[in-house]
Amino acid sequence: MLVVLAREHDEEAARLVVQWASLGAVQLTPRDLSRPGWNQEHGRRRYQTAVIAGNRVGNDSIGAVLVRLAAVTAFDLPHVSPLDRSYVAAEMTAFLVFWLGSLGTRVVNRPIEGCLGGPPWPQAQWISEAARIGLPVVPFTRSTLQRRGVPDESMPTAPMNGDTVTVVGDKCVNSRSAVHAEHAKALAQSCGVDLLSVTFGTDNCEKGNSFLIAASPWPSLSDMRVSNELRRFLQEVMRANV
Amino acid sequence: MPHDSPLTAVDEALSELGLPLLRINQLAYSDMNIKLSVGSELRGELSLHDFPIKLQEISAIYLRPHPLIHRASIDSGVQSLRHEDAVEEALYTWVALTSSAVVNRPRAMAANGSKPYQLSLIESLGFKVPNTLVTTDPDEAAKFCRDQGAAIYKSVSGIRSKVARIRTDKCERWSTIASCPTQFQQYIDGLDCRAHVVGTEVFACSIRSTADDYRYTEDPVAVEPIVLPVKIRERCVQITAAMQLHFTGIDLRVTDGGEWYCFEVNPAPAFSYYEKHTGQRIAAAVAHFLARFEM
Repeated sequence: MLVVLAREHDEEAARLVVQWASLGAVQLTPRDLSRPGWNQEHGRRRYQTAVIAGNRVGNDSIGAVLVRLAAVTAFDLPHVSPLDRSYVAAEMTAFLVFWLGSLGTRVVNRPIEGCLGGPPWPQAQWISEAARIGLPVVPFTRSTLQRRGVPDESMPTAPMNGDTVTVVGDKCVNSRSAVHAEHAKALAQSCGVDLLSVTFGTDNCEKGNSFLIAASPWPSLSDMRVSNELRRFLQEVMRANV
Repeated sequence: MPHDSPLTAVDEALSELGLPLLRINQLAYSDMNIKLSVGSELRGELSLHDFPIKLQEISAIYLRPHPLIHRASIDSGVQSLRHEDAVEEALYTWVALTSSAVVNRPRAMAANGSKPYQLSLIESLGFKVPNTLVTTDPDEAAKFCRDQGAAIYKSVSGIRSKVARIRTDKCERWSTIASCPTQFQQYIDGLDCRAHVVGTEVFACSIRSTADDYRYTEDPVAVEPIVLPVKIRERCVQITAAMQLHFTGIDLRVTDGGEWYCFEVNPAPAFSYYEKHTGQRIAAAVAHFLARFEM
């Protein structure tokens, strides 16, 4: 079984579940966490069960999980009393961290720092991590003076032509440059994610120097090349966890 | 924020050491501006009432954040509210990336946001932990509690975190378990202990109380300093370091048979209650730890 963890009205997730029906794809929504049948016992491997698309399944029947939800929010829980929604959302998110953690390498992307599907980093942190592993970056600059409508002339900006590539496992999709592909994969590996979009820019000088300017563990999957590569990768994950 | 007892205690201890301090009050964001530049280096400047401070000159940080309460009101305008959000975001970015010592870094604290997940880490690092079930199945919950003999339930996230013994006269409420994963745990009979770890220093105490959760009772609670067995003391230091934390409050219980169990590693311990009862100089230890990094 391939599980896609996503909000109830996530159209992209619903489309993938239809496209991947032959892989046994089903969607797990926050609503499922309010159904009887979840059992996760710390340390005991047998009799761990989940409720996916309304059906009770053993954890062992799950071959892979694609996470498309950073956290459960109060808006996901219209069936819960309004006064309790924030609390229940926090409990469900904390439980999913535990459950997904127990599934190990079957999960793409794995929870990190309390976020269900990869590092919850702001852009500055992606830039910092890229610089740390030796990738050329455009410095991320921000001044709260700008938020007050006061222009800050000291903050440099650099016009860039962008190239966005998507890392899926050990492959890179839509890369126009072997260097960009190599750098994107290096960043994904350093952060422990299997799915990552990375945007590079080239400056306007004669040499056309290339810099990393942004990254995200939530790439759009509307591009067929990306979703096809992801399907292939998830099939490998499922085979490895038989 | 003001009126945070642990923060106030560390502030006083740092003042006694005569070190220059910068106090960042979450209620005063409207008086602050921050510039950050992140690349191969992290550089930044914070200005408080237009007085500039270079962030690179800050050697150590003690973090006691609270959920942001905007001081700006709707009447102040959306820009003021956005400014306060922007200041908070910039501060968290700086704290996440700075090479200065941070007690404790938010990413290292995140594991505590899922108690059963943290319990798995605690067990992997050598401590005994209670049997635990998280379930939406009332029958399985009842079976688990019967199998354990005695059990408690507690929140999974730590919000509304009061621990309560399972009472059979409340079983009619168990149908509500189906609406949200609920955590049940083996009840360990024994003496509550708390170990505060600051770097490699350990301050331990015992807590005697008749309540299920001594933190939420008006009954008498007796808190006394103790000396941990060497192996337990070492394990507390190791687990703190393994979780990339500098300062922790570790919840332990020792049975009559001498078995030690660990329930939780608190990355932002509210230590002042224990310090007040035992006289242990935990705030001073934190201050000395931070002072080590002074340039």
